[in-house]
Amino acid sequence: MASNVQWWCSAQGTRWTWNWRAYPGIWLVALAIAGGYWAAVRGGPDTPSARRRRAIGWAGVVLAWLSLDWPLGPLATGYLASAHALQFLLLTMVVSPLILVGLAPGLAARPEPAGWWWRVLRVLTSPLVAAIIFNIIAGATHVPAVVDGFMVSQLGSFALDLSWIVAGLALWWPIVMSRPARQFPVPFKLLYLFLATLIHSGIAVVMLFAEFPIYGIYQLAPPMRGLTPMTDLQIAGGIMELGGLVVVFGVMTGLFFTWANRSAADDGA
Amino acid sequence: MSIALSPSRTLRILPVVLALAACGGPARNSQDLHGAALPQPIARPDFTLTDTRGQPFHFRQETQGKLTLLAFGYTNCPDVCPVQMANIAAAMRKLSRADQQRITVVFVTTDPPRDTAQRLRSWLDNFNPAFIGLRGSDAEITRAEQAVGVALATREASAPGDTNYTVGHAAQVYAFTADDSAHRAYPFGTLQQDWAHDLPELLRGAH
Repeated sequence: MASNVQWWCSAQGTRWTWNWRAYPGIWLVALAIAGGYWAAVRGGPDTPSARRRRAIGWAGVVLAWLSLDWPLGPLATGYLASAHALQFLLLTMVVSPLILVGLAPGLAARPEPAGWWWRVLRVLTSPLVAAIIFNIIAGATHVPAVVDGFMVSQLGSFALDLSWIVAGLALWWPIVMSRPARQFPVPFKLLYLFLATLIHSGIAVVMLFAEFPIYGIYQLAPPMRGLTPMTDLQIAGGIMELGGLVVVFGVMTGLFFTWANRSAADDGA
Repeated sequence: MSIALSPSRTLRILPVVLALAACGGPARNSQDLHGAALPQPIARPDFTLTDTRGQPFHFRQETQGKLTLLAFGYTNCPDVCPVQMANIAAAMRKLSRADQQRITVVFVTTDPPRDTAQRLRSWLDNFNPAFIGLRGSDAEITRAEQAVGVALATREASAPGDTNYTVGHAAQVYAFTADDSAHRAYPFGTLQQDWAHDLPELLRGAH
């Protein structure tokens, strides 16, 4: 019998029901994210654009909580590969960039700190290192042995969820943030985004064309009505591929046209 | 001991090897099978229950010499039974039609009060219409369980008269091979990949 209160979601092996369950660990982490975000944006510029961006960041904070908590959290950890893919997509491709969009104006308005941690951040958010971090985390956390091994424990599941937020922040930092200051022209941003997220498509292709369900945890989970593990895996692959394409190419298109319009305006001036 | 095989010797023995392979060859004892090896093989049990058409089904007689997967469970089972049946069915779909027909899957309900013939049939049809469902009185099912040597099923009701009970039952599937013995059991946790690996081997006589 599954307990109705757990610190964090983990695979329970019990039949899925739509009865609400409480995950206090998730609430604490969501509160910590919200508190950290509030502290970071407090005292930032008060222009309409900055206010709009702060609101977008808050939407990211709320979405982080919704992605981790019931029902998506437990569905993703113990029942459906497709829910797992949706959670990964939300945390890495939506939540992280939204939060960074909210943080960007405040960070840009402050003078660059001189501490060691800022130098570390500069290295970690340089495009090459950020792409490596994202690729390693995205790749490693989709290896069947890792998923099957981590999802059965609350600590393992917690580690995977947080690693996805870190991976997303790393991926999007060079695109969204202007600090630490570096030369990163838009054409390079487009190339970076395309190359850094190729692994996303790779994982999706493996899911779409696997001969068998690749994750034991979802194959052995109590069945969800009308959904075989194979169909579920293919839906997961579709979510990864289509969702990733929409986000990445949407952002690339936005970046390109913003850059093109700015160039045209500069040429006209 | 090692035997050096020259190309000419290989060519000489090749027809013999191929002939053995073609007719199934001698029984093979494979260490590579993914199923759990039983400490002692279980002889194909002799019990009679009723199939979903209402006809008597003499297990030993009707499955003799055939690869037969035998499972005990119930249709209200929330996890083990549907997952085991679904994984067997999925792995069988990867086999040729001829090989599929060489495998008999028998599911014995441990919950005859709720598993009517119709319910059992419709539940099994979700996986594979060729799967055989058997039922009988509690005493008959107990005899079948004893014949195989599995733990006896127990109903776990929260209160007398509760019809929403669960049934504790053996979770493993026994594979009876052409030698009329089960050498392997497949516990809950056996993946489709494991079945897909083992079924062709079991058909070839490995145990």
